[in-house]
This record gives sequence, C-alpha cells and structure tokens, in this order.
Amino acid sequence: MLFVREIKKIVKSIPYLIFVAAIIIGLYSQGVFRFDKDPLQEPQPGGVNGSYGYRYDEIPQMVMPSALRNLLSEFSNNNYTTYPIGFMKHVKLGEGEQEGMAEILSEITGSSKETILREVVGIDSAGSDNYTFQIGGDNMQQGEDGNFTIGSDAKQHNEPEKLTFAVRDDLEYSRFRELMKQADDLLGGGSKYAPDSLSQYGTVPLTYEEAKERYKLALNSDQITGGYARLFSDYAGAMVLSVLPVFLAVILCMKDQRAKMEALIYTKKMSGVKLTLIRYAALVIAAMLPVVILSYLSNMVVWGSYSGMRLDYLAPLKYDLGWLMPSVMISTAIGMFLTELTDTPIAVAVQGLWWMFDINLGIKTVHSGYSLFRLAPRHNVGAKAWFKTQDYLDYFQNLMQNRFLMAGISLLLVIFTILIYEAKRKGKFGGNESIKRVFSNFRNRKNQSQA
Amino acid sequence: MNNSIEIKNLNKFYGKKQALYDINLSIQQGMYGLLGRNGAGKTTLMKTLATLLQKKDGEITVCGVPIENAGEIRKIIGYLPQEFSMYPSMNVGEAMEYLAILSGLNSSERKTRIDALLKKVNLTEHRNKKVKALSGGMKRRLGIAQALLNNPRVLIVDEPTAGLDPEERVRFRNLLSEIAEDKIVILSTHIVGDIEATCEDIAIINEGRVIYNGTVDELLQTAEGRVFTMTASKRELPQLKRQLSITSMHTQGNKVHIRFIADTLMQGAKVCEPNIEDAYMLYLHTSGVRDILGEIGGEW
Amino acid sequence: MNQSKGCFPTLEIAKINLKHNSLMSIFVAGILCLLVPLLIGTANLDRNAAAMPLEMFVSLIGIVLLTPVFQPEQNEEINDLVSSKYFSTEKVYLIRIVYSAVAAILLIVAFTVYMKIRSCDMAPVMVLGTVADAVFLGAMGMLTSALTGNTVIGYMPPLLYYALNIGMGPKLGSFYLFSMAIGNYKAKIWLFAMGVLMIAGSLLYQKLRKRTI
Repeated sequence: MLFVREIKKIVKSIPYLIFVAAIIIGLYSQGVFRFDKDPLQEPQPGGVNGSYGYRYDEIPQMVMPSALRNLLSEFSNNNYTTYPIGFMKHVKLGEGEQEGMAEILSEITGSSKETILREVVGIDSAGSDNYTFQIGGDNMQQGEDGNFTIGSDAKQHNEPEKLTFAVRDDLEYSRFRELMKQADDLLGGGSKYAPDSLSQYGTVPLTYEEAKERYKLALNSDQITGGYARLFSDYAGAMVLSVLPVFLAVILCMKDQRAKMEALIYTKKMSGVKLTLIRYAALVIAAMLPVVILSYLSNMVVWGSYSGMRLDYLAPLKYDLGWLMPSVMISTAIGMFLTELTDTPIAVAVQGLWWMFDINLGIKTVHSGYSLFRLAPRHNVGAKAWFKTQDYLDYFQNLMQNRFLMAGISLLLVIFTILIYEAKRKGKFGGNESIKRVFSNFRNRKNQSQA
Repeated sequence: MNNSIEIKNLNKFYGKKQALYDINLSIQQGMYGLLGRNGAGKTTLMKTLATLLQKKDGEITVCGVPIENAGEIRKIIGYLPQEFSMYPSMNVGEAMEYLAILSGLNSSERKTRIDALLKKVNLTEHRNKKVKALSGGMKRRLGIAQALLNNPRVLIVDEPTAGLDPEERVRFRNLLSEIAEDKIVILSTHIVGDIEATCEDIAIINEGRVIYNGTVDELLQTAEGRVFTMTASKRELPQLKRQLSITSMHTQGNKVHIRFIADTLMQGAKVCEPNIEDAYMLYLHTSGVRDILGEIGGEW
Repeated sequence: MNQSKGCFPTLEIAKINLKHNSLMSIFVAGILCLLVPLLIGTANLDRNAAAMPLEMFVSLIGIVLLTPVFQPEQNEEINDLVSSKYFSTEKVYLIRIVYSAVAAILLIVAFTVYMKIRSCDMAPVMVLGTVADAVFLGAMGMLTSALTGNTVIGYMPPLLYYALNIGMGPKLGSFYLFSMAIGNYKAKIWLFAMGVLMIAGSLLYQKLRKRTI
C-alpha cells in the first residue's frame, strides 16, 4: 500500500530523526515533562504573602496617569521603546513628529505645546554631557492628588525647577485612548500606547474571590489536564511544529528528483490526486505521531497528583488535533506546494521566515489573544496562574477562526499542488529546465555503486 | 615509456557487498572495450581507475604509476562519467575554463587548448550556450573535450553512447577511434554494437568478474559452430524460449525466425556465423547466467 | 605533458566559484542584513541591547553563507567530474569556506559600523563575538550537509539550535549564542573553537568519504 510505503520512507529518513530529536530536546528544555513541579493549587485565604497575583485591567484612573508619566519620560529623551514585532526597538522622532507628540501631550495635560516643548525637551537637549534632568525615576514624585511633579537634580542646576504635569480633569477616557492611538501611530506602532496595550498600565491585585474563581474555572472548564495540554501545545507549536514539517515535506518531494523518479512517477497510472493526498496525509501523520505520544507523556505526569478529581484524559489529543495539527498542516502544505511549483527548496526559506516573524510577534501575545494569521498561537500560562482559563475562553472564537483558516489554506495549497502536478504530468508545466536545474544539485550519492 | 594499464588481483567492496572479484587485466594502447550489463561492475572498475574510488586490495599501475599516487594518476588520465553535468549557471566556455584550471593548466595553455578541443568536438559556435541546455550528443562531446584538457595518456569513458540517437552514436564512435590513435581509451558499454565498431581488445564483465578477456576475433572464434538459426511457429515460441538461449528473433506473419546458442545442432536448425552479440550471450550463458532476450538491451 | 604544475590557482578558482556557486547565498545574506533594522531597533542602544541585533539576527548569515559550501558537488555527476581533475576538491571547498567566512566578517563589520553610526554603544569585540556565532551555526550546517550529502538537511540543526537558544536561554552556558546581550563575551571562544572544529571535521569527512566508498 502506497500510504504505508510513504510513511515508512519518511520515518526512516535522517530528517525525521532530526525532527523527532528536535521535538524531544526542545520540549524537554521547556520542562514539559516536569509539569508535576507546577501543581494547580487551590487559593488559600491569605494567599502567598498576602498576594493572590495580579491582573491587568484597563481602569482609566490608573491607566491615564501611568501612561502619561511613561510618555513624558520617553518624550523628554526622544527615545521611545516599541515592540513592533516582539523585539525591542528604539524610536527617535524627527522634529515635526516630536511637535506632534507635544500636541498630544498638550491636549492631555492642558499645558501649551510650547511649554511642553520648551520645558521638557528644551531642558533635556540644552544639558551638557552630564545633564541629569530626567522625567521619571527618582526625579518624579507622585503627589497626594495623583499629579506628578518633575524635579531636576539640584546638584546640577542652581535653580531647582518644578514642573507639574497632570492629566486634565475634564479629559474623557475615550478621547485619551484616541490620543494614545495617535501617539502609537507617530511611533510606527507596537508601542505601549497602542489601544490593546493600555491595560498594562492598570495592574490590579487579585482578590481571594477572584483567585478562587480562576481556580474553579481551571477545574471545571479545563478539567486540569486541559490547562497542561494547552501549555504543552504552546511550546510545541512555537518551537518546532510550525517550522520543521516543511523540511520533511521539501526533502521527501525533492527525493524524487534526486533519484530521477520524476519521469517514472509521471508516467505511472496512479492519479495525481491520490498520490498527492496520500503523500500529504503521510507527512502530516508522520509529523503528528511523536507529538501525540509526547503530549501524553507530558500530560500523564500530572494525572497522579489529582486522583479523585475529574480529569479530561482526552485533553492532550484534543489539543494535538485542534491546536497543533493546523500548524503542521500549513507548514507541510507550503513545503509541498512550493517544492512542486519551483523544484527548489525555497519553501524552507519562506516558512523559516514566517516562523521567525511569527514567534517574535507572538511574544507580545504570549498570554493568549490569537490574531487571524497566527502560525503558532501562544498561551504560555502555567498552573500557578490557574492557566488563565478565562482569557482562553474569551479568545476561543478567535483561536478557532485562526485554526480553521490555517487548515483551510493548507487544503487549498494541497489542491494547487495537485493541479501543478497534473499539469506537469501532461507536460504543460516545468518543461523549462532552467528553474528545475538551479537547485537540482541535490543528488543522491548513495547510488554511487551503480555500475 | 610504459604505455599500459596493469590490473592485478583487484577486489572492491561496497560495505560488505563485493563489487569486483579478483580482476586481472592488461590494457594496451588503443581502444579497449568493457562489455557488460548494467550493474555488472564496469563503472566501479572505471571509477577506481579514475581514482574516484579506492580499491580494497590488489595492484593497479597506470603507465607505470601506482594508483595510490592519485595526484600523478590524475595528471595522465581523462575521465568522462556516465552522466555528464556541470554547475547549472555555467556555459560551455566557462565549464571548460574551470575544468582546465582544475586540471592545472596555466592561462595561455588554457586558451589554446580549449579553442582546439572545442573545434575538434564541433562545439565552437556553442561556446556561450549553457551546459544544461545542450542536447545529449553535444553534452557527450563536451564531456570528451573536457576529458582531453590535460592531454591525457589514458582516456576513460563510461557508457558514452547510452541515450544517443544512432547518428550521434556513430559520430561519437568515430571521434573516440580518432583519439585512440595515440592513447589508451577505455570504453565501457552495454551496447554490443559500440564494441563491434571500435574495439580490438575487450573484456566482458559479469557480476563483478571478468568472464572474457581477449580480442574480438578470439571471442568470435569461441562461438564458432555454436550459434544456430531456425524458423518456428509463433505458438512454439514460449516453449523454445524456456529451452534455448535465444540471442535474437524477428517475426514474420505467424512465423518467427530465432537465433540461438546451443552446444549441439538440433533438428530444424542451421549453423550460422556468430556475431559479437552471440558470443557475448554465449559467455554470459556459460558463466551460469540465464538470459532472456532484451535484458542486455543492445541494438537488435 | 604540456601541463605546468605551478602554484595553486587560488584566485582564479575563487573568482569562478564566487560567480557560479556562491553569488546567491551572499546575496541572500546581504538581504538578511538589510531586513534586520526592520525587525529590531538598531539605534541608540546600550552595549548589551546593541548585541541583540548582531547575535539574534546578523549571526544567521553564517547559516546562509557556510552551510551550502558543499552543495554544488552534492550532484554526484559534477562530483565525479571535478574529482577526477588534478586539483583536489577539498582545496576548492577550503577556498569557498574562506571567502564565505570573509563575506560574513565583512557584512558583520558593516552592520556594526552602521549601528555605531546610529549611536549604539559598539565595541570591536562584538564583531568577533558575532563572527563566532555565525561560524558556529554555519559549521553545524556544514557538518550535517557533509554527513548526509544533502544541504537541505544541513539547514535543520543550526536553525533548531537557534530555536533552542531562544527557548532555553543562558542555561546553555558556554554555547549560548546570545551571551553578549547579557554581558558575557568569553563564551564566544568556545563557540568559535567548536565551529572551527566542525568545519575541519566536515572537510576531513569529505576527504575520507571519497577514498573509502
């Protein structure tokens, strides 16, 4: 049977060995086989040193002053930190853009744009090398009224200055958000002023009741194992499964070329539909096989700790199929499609780049929140935070949309692969040797004994 | 000057699998043919001579130089592999230039030599064509040209005529014969016609062993009186195929003329003049190999 | 014999190989460097932050440049052809390795200078550290490519090792690729030495393989 033969061909290959080794080492390094060290604990009254952890909330009274304080500080140095794709980026604004930022600050504080430019930037840039005028840090004091007083360092300046900036009393929060959005746009996006980042300024301690609520949700909705399975999927997806299957696909498809099998296969009666589908299924299943095993090995570690409690023993399988398989599918499909299209291993570069962007972008949403085109969804929350099950449930629909989209695109690519394959077989495509030959240098030297 | 290749007790293994068994050959100036089926060990032997493979034991000297001295050997041999291809972006001129540099020619030698060789193989006007865009015959001719870059004393060509059309094949054989006037040219083939047209001395290799070593004439002599023809009806053919070593056949209506090898004359058959094909089949046959028509895939 | 066996024609071989076998990878490496400023900040960074673009991105050019050095001759037909010539293929490999490494160093120096101009706190030692990363990653690919005879497989281990570094962080000790970002420059000596060792190993394997098959 062709399916069994294809699976065998994949499983016995060196890249597959590397693939399996990579999953095991990668996941081991993230501690997924020691989940018992991170047990789910019922919150006790009094918490850990009186704390039950924190949550972020977009509470205007907290967000507005904190965000303003941060923006003033960055404005004064004209050195803004942003995370456009996850990595830190320092942005320096041009003169006109700084003025635009001053306008925003002016509307928030009620001070005139000129004052802000003069008092904040002016002092900053007029200073010598050892100027110490800073906004933020030790020099900024929060008054009783919640306003910030910015003082310069008395040692460096003869006349200590006192500048007071505070959020205007009559500023609506909705307008504040708009202004923050403008600031974010000025910075090129990815700043801490972006609407979806503002909640970071509102850190609220959890109450005992809230902690208890979260714990219950982990018990009832995730049935404990679900939370661990999700954490496993988070690591497995981001580290290997979104990128490595492309290698398996490319190498399998190029093997035919190396062995000069192409001409042989094309003339065989076997339909392109059947061959491509079988090969695709074999690749996906071969890639999923170790994942399913490892997900259970990881999950089973905790089963003993919760004897008597209701556990979902199918949780790892559900997450393997629902969360991880679409990533494997798309990675495999891109590999097959681009290899069939170009006869080159270009898919490795394409998928590698997408993965690189995706994991870096994903760092921002590491605690759930799944954009439509996310390759590897993230939800990196362990049992200590009770898996943040509510966050997961809140975004569940987005996750589903994303996963279905990925699976859909995969199948579409497989259909395209079949079409190209059929066209090639009829000789309509790939007649030009030039593309084919560029990378066809990968020939099997194992055939050297042929005499 | 010693102008011969001496091979003594050569054995060659791929892992545990033995590819060549105790080969003993002495090859003199002129064309020398290695005949054998695909997978018989011809390429292994040629690659060993071209220093691409290392022998297990035995002794080989090429024009007096022991094969272990790979650098010296490479100076005096030219090699055309079975499949010829070059870095994908190179054109004919660039490929020759690069291979000439690797052969150790200096720039003035390169220029004159490349011009002369391209002219000799009729590729001068294709100089700027990409190697991969050449036709099969042109590729082989380029292959010969590059093998001659260092003006070798020994030219080793592996299956040079496979895949060429009949006209190209004849041209190629003639080219080789011309070259062989002052060199040792070793030619491997599974096509009997190549040998017939070009070689005096041949060796037949089967399953890693030399089963014949001598001149073409001697080969024919050994088959004298053992090749027969007969006409039979098509219906009898399956049974005859099982009984006889048929070397060729052609049908005419519901009759079939067959040519076969046997030790004694059988009823209805006539003795006929053996050709190399018959003799070759006879050797394969007597060395314990049962062959059926088509397996050696020659020009029938 | 009309051959002159003078000195080894290093420059001529290098020139031809650059044109026909390495132009693409050098081009890709250059593009990669141009993309880095879009991915991560490359201005106004302090010493440790400035190490990030170099270690996390620029060092990847090692994979692009060094891993495919054996690729052209992995076509067995080409291998047979060039191996039968007087000058050994290992020397050609060595030439490719040297100019690929030089290309990597030049790109890294250029990127460091670019960051310096954009007011980052750079030091010459950072060039060496990044080169060590690049050589280590590239050599890992080179060795795999030599052992498997397939350059595509060769790309896998270095990429995985890179991912492992993102996942495991400084726990990798002396073989942590991003150590300059946490102020450790000494670890690079190990990476570099290991890289050189792997390159030597893959060359040796190429030589032995040919003689024993």
